[in-house]
Amino acid sequence: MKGWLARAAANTRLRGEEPRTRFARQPARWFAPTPAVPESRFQHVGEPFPRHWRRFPEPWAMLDPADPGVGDTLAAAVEELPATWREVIIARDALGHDAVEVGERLGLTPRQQRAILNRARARVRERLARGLTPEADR
Amino acid sequence: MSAAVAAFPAVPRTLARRLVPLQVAVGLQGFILWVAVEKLFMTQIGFTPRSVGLMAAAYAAVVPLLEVPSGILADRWSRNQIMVCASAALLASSLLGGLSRNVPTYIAAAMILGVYFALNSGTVDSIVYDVVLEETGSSDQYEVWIGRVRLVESGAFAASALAGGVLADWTSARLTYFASLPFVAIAIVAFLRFDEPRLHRVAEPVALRSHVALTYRTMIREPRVRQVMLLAALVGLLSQAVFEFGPLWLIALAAPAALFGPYWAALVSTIGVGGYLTSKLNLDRRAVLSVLALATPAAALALTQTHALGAVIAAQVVLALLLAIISIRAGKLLHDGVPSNLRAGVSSGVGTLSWVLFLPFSLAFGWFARAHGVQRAGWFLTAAALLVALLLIAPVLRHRPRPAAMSASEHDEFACKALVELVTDYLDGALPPELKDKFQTHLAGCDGCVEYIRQIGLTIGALQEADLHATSRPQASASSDPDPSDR
Repeated sequence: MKGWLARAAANTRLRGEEPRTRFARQPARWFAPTPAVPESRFQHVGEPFPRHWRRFPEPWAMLDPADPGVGDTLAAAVEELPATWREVIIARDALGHDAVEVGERLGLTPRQQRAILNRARARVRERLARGLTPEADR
Repeated sequence: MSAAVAAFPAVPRTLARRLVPLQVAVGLQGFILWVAVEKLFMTQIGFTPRSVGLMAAAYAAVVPLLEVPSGILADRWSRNQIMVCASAALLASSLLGGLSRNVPTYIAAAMILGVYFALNSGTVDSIVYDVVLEETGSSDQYEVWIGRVRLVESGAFAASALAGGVLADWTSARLTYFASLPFVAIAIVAFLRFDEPRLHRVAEPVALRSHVALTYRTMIREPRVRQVMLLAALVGLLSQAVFEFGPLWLIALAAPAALFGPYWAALVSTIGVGGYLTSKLNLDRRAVLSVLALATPAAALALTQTHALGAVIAAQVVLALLLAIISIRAGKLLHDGVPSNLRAGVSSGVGTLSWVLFLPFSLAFGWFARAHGVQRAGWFLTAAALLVALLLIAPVLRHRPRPAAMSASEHDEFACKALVELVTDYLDGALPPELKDKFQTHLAGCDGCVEYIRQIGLTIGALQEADLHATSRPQASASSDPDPSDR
């Protein structure tokens, strides 16, 4: 509930930000780049070690792919991804296709393909971590 | 039946193709024929400068309030639906505006327009940002694409202004309201056709109270921030005033309806031209700043002095152009002077301050213009422009050294946050040698990053093992995914 309120407040703030008159808007708004791993996992400027982990990722004991819980979490996590990310991560990691071929098929540059894969993997890892070490990682 | 084909789409979905419906929708939504001749029509149904001021004030009062519910909706609901609702509000406002025969009805229509603006504001930016992130994996190209969307929008503004002026001249100003309806209706269809992003550019939830307190302290205590905020808010107020009250000069001088089109087109195009000029001018040079600081009040002063229609239009367009340039400058100063985690809060503080200042300004302007004529009310603009000029030039005169935006070491150091962005490049062997060295050096001394990479490895291993083809079939819960060809 508190997190929800904070997000609603952040969104409201975002909306108040746009410089505009009743009919005309200023060209564009500046957005900070979105990191692959949530910003809150790292220390901010002003903390002892800015841009380093606030808390190290909690070690995983073992990951048993045969465990139905893990399989379901994986499937759900992949399902949640944007379509292009899903296609990339399935093609590269589940089916083991070649990076060049995947990029060409989806119309992505090699850099874009890697950036998407990196974000998709980070997301899926995050979901698994939430299941494996529920208290620590969130 | 064509599942095998669908799994390997012949034509890749690309960023450009995906954004086409959005651009069409935004263009159609910006094709509002009545905007250019609004003040003409308002005068016809009995508005005086005072009631125009009242309407603008009512609008300014209601917009910040509407921002709250739309901010809540934005997070909870589909953004396509928000844009559809915004268009519906625009449709309702145009219809009610066209039907109105008196002042209160038209003010109600203007309030509904406020709903449109509150729902609309920032939504397109967020959508474009997320789509760029979804289709390219980074937000690097966001500015290019939002620039294109804004270009389409401002092209629609200018074209509709010209067309609206001609239409009003041939028929009546009232007809432009009804003629706008089909465009908005088609915009709704285009928004529904748009494949909306499923990522949400959620602002990080922060500990609300301490963050608000910190933002507030920064805004109040830091004299430099205070000054820039005031500058930005005044520029916002003044450009709002030019757009809202500028047409009253043309009405006072009995300009023909057809002239309102080119006039409004010139006014809205100043925003785009201002952006272009700002990129060409060096605004750190004193000479450039001095010219801006002199020309802005001069343009406003001209409005109080001349009775020539051409001179009035020229003065307003120049004033709007200068304000567009100064507003970008103010935005940059704010951006440099405020730490990144407070920036959003401070700039929305500017937005609110601007609306709050505009409210009494518009009432006073309207009251004075009714009593003494719109030309003499131009002194209000001149006074505000003088303040803007002073705030613009003051920091330069005081010779304050400009602080570096950020300490250099912060960007140079290869920290954990940089490492996690490069894991896939590292695993694919795509890192340039010197980055690879930094990566490995960091890894040698950081248990957290070692564990992170181990977990990414385990994740990849699990994905290989998992029978994702079987498990990622379209599920009952996949109703949120309207596109079955993704499978």
